[in-house]
Amino acid sequence: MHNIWLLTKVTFKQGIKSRILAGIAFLSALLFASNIAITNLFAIEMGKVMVDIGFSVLSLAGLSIIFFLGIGLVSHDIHNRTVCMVISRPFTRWQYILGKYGGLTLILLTATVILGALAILSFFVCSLLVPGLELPRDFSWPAILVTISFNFLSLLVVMSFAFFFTIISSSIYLAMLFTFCTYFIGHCLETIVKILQGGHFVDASPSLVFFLKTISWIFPNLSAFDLKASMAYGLPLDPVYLGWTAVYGCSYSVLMMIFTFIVFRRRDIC
Amino acid sequence: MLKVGNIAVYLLLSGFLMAAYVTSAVNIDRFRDEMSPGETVSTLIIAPEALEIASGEFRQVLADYLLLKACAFLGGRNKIKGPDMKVVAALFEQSLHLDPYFFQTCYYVQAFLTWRGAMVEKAIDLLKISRKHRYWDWQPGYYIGFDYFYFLKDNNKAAKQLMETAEIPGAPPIISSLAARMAHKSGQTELAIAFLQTMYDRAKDESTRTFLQDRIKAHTGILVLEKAVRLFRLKYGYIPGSLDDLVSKGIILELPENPYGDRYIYEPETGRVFFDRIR
Amino acid sequence: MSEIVFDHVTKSFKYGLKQQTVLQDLCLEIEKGEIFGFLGPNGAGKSTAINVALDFIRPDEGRVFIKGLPGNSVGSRGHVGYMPEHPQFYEQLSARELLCFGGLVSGINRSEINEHIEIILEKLELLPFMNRPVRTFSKGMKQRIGMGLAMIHDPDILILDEPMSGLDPLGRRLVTRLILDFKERGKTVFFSSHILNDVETLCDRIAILDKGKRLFYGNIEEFCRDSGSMEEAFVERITNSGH
Repeated sequence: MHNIWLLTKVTFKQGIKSRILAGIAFLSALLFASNIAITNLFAIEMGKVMVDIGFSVLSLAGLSIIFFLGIGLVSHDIHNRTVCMVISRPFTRWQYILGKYGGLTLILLTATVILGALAILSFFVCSLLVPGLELPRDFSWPAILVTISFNFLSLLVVMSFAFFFTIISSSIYLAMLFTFCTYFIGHCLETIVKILQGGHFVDASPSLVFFLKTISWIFPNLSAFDLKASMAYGLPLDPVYLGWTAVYGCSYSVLMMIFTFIVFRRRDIC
Repeated sequence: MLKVGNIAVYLLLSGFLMAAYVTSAVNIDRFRDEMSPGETVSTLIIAPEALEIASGEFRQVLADYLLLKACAFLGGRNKIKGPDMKVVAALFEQSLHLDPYFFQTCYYVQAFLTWRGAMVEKAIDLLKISRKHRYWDWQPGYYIGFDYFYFLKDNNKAAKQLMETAEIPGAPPIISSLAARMAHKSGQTELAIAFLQTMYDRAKDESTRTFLQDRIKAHTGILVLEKAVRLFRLKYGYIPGSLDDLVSKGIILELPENPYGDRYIYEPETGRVFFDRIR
Repeated sequence: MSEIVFDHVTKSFKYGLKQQTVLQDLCLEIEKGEIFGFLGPNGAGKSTAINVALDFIRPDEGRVFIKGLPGNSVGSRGHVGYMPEHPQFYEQLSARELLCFGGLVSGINRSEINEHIEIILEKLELLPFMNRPVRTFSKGMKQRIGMGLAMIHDPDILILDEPMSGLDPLGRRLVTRLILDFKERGKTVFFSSHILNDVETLCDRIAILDKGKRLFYGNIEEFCRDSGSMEEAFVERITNSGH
């Protein structure tokens, strides 16, 4: 346990001091600042636009951190053999997986807290500077925090399969490609199945629908974590649904880590 | 050590390059202003469902952008060609599909597709999406009711829509009274004025307010004239041949002003008055 | 009981459809307190053998034992200090932070770690650079930090893969001194090299590997007996084996 925590700390330090993170943070700050300008372009329901942009920047920044920093850190470890420095000590491979993932989680958490604070700050500034801005319906701070938390949870899920792909593939770009594909499928699979089942768009064969439903067990349903619409329009959030979603996210991440460990355990790493 | 001759050459070259850059930039700007890329608005003709799939968790921001694109084109243009209006309608549809809760889309659908686009059925279809999702909001239902009444002259559907809308908490009481009056098929023009007045009170942009104000004025003029025609008939036993008869016979002091043209158009056979030739 | 035992270790790698045998039935025993040199031309399989010992690579057949413990157990690695041929680190960390991590993970107490770090850095002549991030270090400095990471927890066995590679003469002298110092304290050093000079200076016994096969295993005098110099003996062995 102590070992895991040590690796978590080292991974965290490695990530936090990285210039990539600084670049992402800077760009995000710029985009948050631009929220004021963009919101001003709209005449009605500006509050909802403000929230849309704020949360989109948050999502984008989180994804950038996973793609450019997270995958990069793990890939550097594996492909440049920095991992040897760790594994040559009394450090099991399971501890390595947990420690590395823990460090990445901590980086993501720190980034989410900072970016979340920036997003909320941009909301404040918008509400002060944009004339006639009404806050979204049933706006509340708990709703914002819940939306940010679930966004974080979805990023954890994305990171778990980013981690998996980085460990199993021989190239950093392959890992990025697979991660992106999984992220994209994760968001659109539910929509595709609904459209096909709805039947007005295209005549879908039952076998196609069955196939898609089967693979939706393999790919994570990332659209379940997207609470932006509820946040922007004050739609009610069912705590039971949220609870199940949280369990889903955590269990998926843990399962992904176990798969990663199974592959990593067998792998020749140097 | 740089020779004086070399320095001069470097300065000359740099000066030339800067001049070329600045003049070309200025000229490009001038040409592109004249080109006005918004001359015809364009959009990718993709099914809204495909857009929904492609945009993933960013669909609300994409919806905002598509609406902005449509509004940027519409704002400040008085004449919009038919094909362009279809594209604007497509943009509204895409935006509404991506974010069916967004009120601004609903508002602009009503403001533009009905009055200026003459695409009332399309507008009603789109408004129904808003109505379905914005279950807390009476406005989409109100617009649909108005469209059925004013444009499609279908009082039954209008009344039904307004009755449902009146039940939404926060709906202004006038809606139920409008629905009731519609059900009783009372005077069309008074009803129209009442509707328009409510919409005018809630309008958020200047162009819509001006537009509605003119409409209200026009309908009020018709009301006055049609009442005068009935009064004339009651008094003299026959329908006046022209609107001037109303003034000359002293029923009214002067003809009300038609904001859409010189005079109101009078149909002696039916006794009805119109403010323009398009019914 | 020998410190390190290679017991009939065999390993092949797949390159596309072809299978290449990198280690063939390797048997070695390294005794306590000796400096053992592992020689061979490039691509002989030296690094692979070391990687098998440290459980980076799993052998197809055979096993490795370190101080009697199986090489693939976590416990065995507590006795080992390892330096790879081209050490790679978490570059944003400072020298102190790296050594702190290495030492703590290898079992040194938090109360003693700072002392250990200072002693090691002083031996490596890196004390002035203690708090600088490692990414600013030159190649020679990085190599020395690699040595530091191998030695921070004062292990009983040092396993070094080409420790002199890329070092200037001063660096080489430093590493040589460290290795000899290690031996004086009764500890074991097992290193691979293709620089015969170093091997001749430092080693008690050697083994020669070529294309995965062990060509010689014994002490240096025995090796050079017939050929006079080490270099001649080496070249002769390799050529005779059909290289």
